[in-house]
Amino acid sequence: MAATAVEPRPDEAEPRGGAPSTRIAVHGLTKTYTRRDGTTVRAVDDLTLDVDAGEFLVLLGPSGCGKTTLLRSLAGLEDVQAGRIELDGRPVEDSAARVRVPTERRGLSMMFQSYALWPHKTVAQNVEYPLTTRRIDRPERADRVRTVLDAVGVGALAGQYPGALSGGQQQRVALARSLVAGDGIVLFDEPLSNVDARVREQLRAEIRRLHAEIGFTAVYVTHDQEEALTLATRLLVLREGRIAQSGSPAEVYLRPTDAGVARFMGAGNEISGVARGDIVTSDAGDVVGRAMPEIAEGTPVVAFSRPETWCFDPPPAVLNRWTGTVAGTVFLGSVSEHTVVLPGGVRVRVRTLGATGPDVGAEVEVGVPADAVRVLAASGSPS
Amino acid sequence: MTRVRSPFAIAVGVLGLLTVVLVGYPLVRTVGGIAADGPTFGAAALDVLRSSNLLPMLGSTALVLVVSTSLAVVIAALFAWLSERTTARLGWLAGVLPVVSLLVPSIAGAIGWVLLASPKAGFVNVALRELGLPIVLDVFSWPGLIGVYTLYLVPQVYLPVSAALSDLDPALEEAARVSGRGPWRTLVEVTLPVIRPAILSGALLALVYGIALFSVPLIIGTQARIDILSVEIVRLLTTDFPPRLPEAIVLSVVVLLVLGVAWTVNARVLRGGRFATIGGRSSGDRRIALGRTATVLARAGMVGYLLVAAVLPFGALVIVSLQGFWSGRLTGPLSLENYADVFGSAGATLAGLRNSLVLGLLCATVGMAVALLLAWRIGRGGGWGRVLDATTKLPGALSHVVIAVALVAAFAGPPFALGGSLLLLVLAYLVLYLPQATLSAQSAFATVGRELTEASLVAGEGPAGTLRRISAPLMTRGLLAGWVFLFVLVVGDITASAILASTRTPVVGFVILGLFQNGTYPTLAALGAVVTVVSSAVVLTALAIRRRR
Repeated sequence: MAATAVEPRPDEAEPRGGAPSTRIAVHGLTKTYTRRDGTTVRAVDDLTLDVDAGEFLVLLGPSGCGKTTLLRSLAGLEDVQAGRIELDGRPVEDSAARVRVPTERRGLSMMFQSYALWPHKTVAQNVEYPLTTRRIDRPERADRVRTVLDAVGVGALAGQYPGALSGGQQQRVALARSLVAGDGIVLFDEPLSNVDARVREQLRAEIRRLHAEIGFTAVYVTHDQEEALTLATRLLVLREGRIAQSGSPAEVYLRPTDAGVARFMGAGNEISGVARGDIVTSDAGDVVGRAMPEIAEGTPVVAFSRPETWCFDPPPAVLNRWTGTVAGTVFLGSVSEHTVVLPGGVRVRVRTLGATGPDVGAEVEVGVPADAVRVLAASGSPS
Repeated sequence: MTRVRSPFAIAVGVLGLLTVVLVGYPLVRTVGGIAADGPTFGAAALDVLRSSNLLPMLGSTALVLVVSTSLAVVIAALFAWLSERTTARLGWLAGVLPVVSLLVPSIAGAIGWVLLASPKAGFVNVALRELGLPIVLDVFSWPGLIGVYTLYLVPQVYLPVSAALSDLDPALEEAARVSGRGPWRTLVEVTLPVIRPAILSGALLALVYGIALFSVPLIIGTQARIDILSVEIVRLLTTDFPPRLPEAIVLSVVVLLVLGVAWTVNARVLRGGRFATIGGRSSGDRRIALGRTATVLARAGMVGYLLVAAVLPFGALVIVSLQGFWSGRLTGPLSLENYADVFGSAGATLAGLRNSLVLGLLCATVGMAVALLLAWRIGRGGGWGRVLDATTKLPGALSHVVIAVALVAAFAGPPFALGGSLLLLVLAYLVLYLPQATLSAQSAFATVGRELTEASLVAGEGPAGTLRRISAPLMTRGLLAGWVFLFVLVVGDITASAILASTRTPVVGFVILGLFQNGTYPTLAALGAVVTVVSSAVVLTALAIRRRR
């Protein structure tokens, strides 16, 4: 991988603003669409964001949250109405100064949802293409193409046309093309949404490995939370064009700041009630958790927790404990999920490893540690 | 947002500006001429309005156009569907079917049909007589005229409709089948409504082409004593001396009004309804299976159309051209005398053939290159893009006769003094067929996925390089189809040629018109056969290249 690893971009300008390690700086970016009926939609709404060198930033959110628009704005493929974008300290988009560097002079790489392999060029020609505009001589280009194709495991297909390849192979070629330019900025637009689950998992692992080896800076768009958790060094959840939460994958998953993010990141048990400090008064009694600081006494809230943090027959130190009835069990392979009805008719899900767990109809003791319960405002819009 | 304008963008901008001037200036000048010389044009208008044959002429023109356009829409939609969406597709013939009647230029086809179905000596009628059948097929009649019109209008509808059908997501039809509809109900209830915009634009193209069609009414209509508008306009300009330009322009305005109404109706309908977005997925082999009987019938229909549109008229031309005189029989001594006659006596024929071939190749190539760049600019959107879009379609909304007249008015005299020059013909052909050229280029652009060009931009290649290295190679098939269309239209053109060509600058259309007025049927047949062979050779070569890609 040495050849692809440390080639500086010929069109890289010396950094002018921001910290030297900041590769992408977005400030106050706004992009609106006008619908046919005349209403205006804010796809990206006054968004500010920095991406550091070597980061793998994943933009996550439901469809229509603005994540793809944000990514395409970075590439200069969207006309934005307001805001500033700097790549390696070079302003490429600045509505105030009327600056707009066209896509082809931003020195980026991008992997598209539809592969976007050119059907009239061979695999090798497809991958070589970004190099032909970067003033690199022919032998070195061939060398780098070979290296990167080998790195993604399709070295044997260099002479084939994309039409002759399987979906997974095409995806690998598209990946090779986006990585061939070296340690630059690579944008990924839901690149794995068109391949089957097994290939998707393999490619995820390879993207992780290549990121570690090459050290490119990635901005990756997906609506799949599992994919986001696997790949991200930092996760950004977008909602209606704004950042709903930003943090490490574990942070966002375990400590969501609102109910919308919490629900989007995965299954959860929600017990509605009224806030009293860290305690939620609910139909099932009091639930102890960790409240967000801005939650006022007496406001409607939900006590949110992940099913895997619950257990049967909890140890004595666990404060939140109930006696309930098992209403149903679903076997999911590595885990089983049991629905338990608590006093007051509150239903929660409890996960156990493998095919273990109580029988349906059994009376059981269940509990969840206070650390695993987030007390969130009930108004968080469902996403 | 300010953009840095690349040399390429500037060049395309200049090209767009030139296009707008070339299309707009003659029309503005012609309309301006009307305003400037009110009394003359007023008198001309009165003359035209008072003439006793105006209303019958407009009536018969409308009747012929309405009936033949309707027939063409039905035939073209049916054949396009059979070819694109069902198992009745006729192998490689499916690629030729849409343009088949264009292989035989309309002038040659009209003569061919006179030779086949003239009441006394037509091959078909002689054969019927010998068989003792009391039936006479008379081409010099309303059905005859409308039938030959229809043959030449079918391709205009066929091309947009078949393009829309081949891009249609087969899932739409499959959903109808799953919901319990048979093939025919699926066609009527789902497929046709979904592609209604393509059908409408095809019908409009057919109407535009039909109004300008001159050879068929000249050859068949004149003898059938059916007056058609296009013949009348050309007659005012070419047979009378001095040319009666004011009267011709007044009649052209009538054409303009009719087409304006049709254009508005079309736009209104398109705006009113919402149509399913047609996906870029190719339908591949997911075709509707027709039953055995239906397949046989459908294929017989398509082969029959092939015979009627090209094979029979061409055959008649060849046979008569080899005979000393036209008797309607297949027997008799055969010789090449007529060919020697046509090409020997005056140099004009050979020069005309050569000119038409060169002009066809030149105009098709230049036209598609210009159309590619303009379509690229139109695709980038914005106000200027919309102006270009409208301007390039404007010649389609105007009769060819109007445009030719306007070009004469604008460029024939000083300061350009292009009257009777080949350059004026080149300009005329480019302007006349600009709509077909840009429409082909635009639909070819639409077949290249957006992400394919975006991927090239991200890779650091500019717009010009992306067009050259990615878009254009991927558009080869579509561009080649447009090229063929342009070539055939230019070689077979007779309207502009009749008005703009001269003995110094003969083209095929001009020579054929001369022979029609002064020559014999065997010599006409000889020239028609040669033109058909030459133009078919080019078209079939291009189609073969296209299939190989």
